[in-house]
Amino acid sequence: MAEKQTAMTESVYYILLSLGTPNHGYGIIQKTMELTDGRLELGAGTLYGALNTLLEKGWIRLYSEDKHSRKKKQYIITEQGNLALQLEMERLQELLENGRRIYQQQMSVELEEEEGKCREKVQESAERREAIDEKVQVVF
Amino acid sequence: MKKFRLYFDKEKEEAWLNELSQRGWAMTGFFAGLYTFMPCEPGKYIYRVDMRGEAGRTPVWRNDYEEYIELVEETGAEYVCRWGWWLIFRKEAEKGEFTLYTDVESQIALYKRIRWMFLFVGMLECSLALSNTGNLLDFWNRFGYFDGIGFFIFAAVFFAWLVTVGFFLMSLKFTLKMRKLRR
Repeated sequence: MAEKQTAMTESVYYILLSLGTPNHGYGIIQKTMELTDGRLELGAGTLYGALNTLLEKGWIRLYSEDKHSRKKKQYIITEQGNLALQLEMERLQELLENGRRIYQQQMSVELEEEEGKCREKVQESAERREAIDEKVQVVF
Repeated sequence: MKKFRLYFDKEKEEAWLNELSQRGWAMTGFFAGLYTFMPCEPGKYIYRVDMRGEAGRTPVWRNDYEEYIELVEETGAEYVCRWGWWLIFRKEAEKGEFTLYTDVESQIALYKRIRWMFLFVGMLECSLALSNTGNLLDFWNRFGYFDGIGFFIFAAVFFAWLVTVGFFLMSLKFTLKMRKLRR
């Protein structure tokens, strides 16, 4: 695979995931819906174009084309496709890990700042209270 | 009901078909600019105009869209008709949303196919216009006036240039649409 690895589209990613077992066009749409809890409903045009591109790339292949029955074409992922999927998952993992790490660092810095401010406020109000107490004592 | 329209922009055509559906007219057929409509409950259908062929690679007359049409129909839609590279589908509005292209990448790919079609046909038309302009100049040089066949050639050349410019402008329009999508 000489091609440079670029980010997969969400559609391609889920199509590949749906083709771990042989599946036909509409089956892929349903599987993707199931995997994303109904969030991603692949359009027929999007799916059809992606299937052709993936066939050309050799990432998927025809699983069965029953010439006798009018059964629909089924596709399955190839070794090359699996490799691409794995690389993509690694890329996504890195993305997520970096995101979480940086975000958490920022969050803890912010938390510390927040805590510092709170402490100052507590201090201030304690001082004010003392001042008031003193005044009260002077009055009585 | 029959209506004659020539649309260059499939999005405008789609909008028009959907508007007529809203008014209770469902499009059922197309032939060379002539649209056929049947009465329907207002707003019953959502129409989508699609293009799958690739100019220069898929002959206009070839009909190998069965597999695609079958897939679209499995999603609850209905195939209406085909005109060359163009396909028209509809779906009953109550069956839910009807979108054929659900990500930006495939929408861009669609616009690319359409743009290439306009460029391709535009170039053919351009070469036609050029050679006919040559004929026209020959005619003028020989006779010094236009009549009969000369006038016919003149009209044909004018029309060819009109179509050429129109198609090139359309390909430009789709380039701009692609840019907008990318952003």
